[in-house]
Amino acid sequence: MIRQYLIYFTQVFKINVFASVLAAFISIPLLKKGMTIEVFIIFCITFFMTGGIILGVLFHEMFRYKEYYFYYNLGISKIRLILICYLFHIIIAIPLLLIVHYV
Amino acid sequence: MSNILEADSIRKAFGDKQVLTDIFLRCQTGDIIGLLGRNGSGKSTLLKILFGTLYTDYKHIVIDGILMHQPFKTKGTIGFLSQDNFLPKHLTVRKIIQLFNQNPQGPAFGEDDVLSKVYNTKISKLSGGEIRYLEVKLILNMEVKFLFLDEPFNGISPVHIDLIKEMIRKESINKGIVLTDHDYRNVLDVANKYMILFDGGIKILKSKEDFIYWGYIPEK
Repeated sequence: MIRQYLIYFTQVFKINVFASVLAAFISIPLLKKGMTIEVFIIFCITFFMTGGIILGVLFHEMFRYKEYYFYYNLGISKIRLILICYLFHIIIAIPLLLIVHYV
Repeated sequence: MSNILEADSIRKAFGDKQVLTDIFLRCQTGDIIGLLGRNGSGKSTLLKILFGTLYTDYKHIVIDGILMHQPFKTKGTIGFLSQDNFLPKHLTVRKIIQLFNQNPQGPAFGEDDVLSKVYNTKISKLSGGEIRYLEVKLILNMEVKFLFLDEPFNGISPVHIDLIKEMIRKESINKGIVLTDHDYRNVLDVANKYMILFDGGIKILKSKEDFIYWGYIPEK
């Protein structure tokens, strides 16, 4: 069953990574004085867990909404799909944040 | 074993427009119900409500005596062929078949002349007709009690339309099927019961005169 969720997750994940890195680059001029590699990565990961996932889901909602019937036929509702997808993102992001913080 | 789906008191409005008014529909194993109606009459809306993916304030859906609010969440209940292509385009045909818990090498797919040539092809590389054929076949092969097919013949070549009709008849032995299509001749050919959505209500059709009476086909 996890395979079906991973398909949705990878689609959202790609958009999210792109959006998060882009957002971090856009923020460089705004955080000019305090910007370090560490701050850049933390910004990326924080956006990845918040705005990035929202953008990824919205992108799917706007351009791939017909695919929801693929998941419905497998017994997966949209809310469940988004929640599990968010969980996968958190599972990736939290360890990354800890690594950046402690290393 | 015979399964029974009974839907009652279904109402749906979009803004001020009342599309469905107090619909009653009964489908049981062996039924192939041809659901007809003009564009915008609410055929797809009704099927989505029955499937549980379109919200409405008023509905009462009972399957084998069990009240269900969103039947699609209960495994083995309903398969739904959406009128739009719904398969993720970056996946291969083989992967899609596996995700539907079906066997690409089994009798249904392994001996299929159309699909056996494109197993390792991504959905994005298939023609519209091939995608529709795959979707229809996946849904028809689902182990469910009921199937809702919204425009199953759309974009399919005449040779494959006959194949699909044959598959629908075969699957109706174990399933109840509701189908709708703009090509009413195909619907009339394959269905064994006919209904028409007219002015928000559902009417049962019994003869060609009924189709003419409700303005679905011309007199001549």
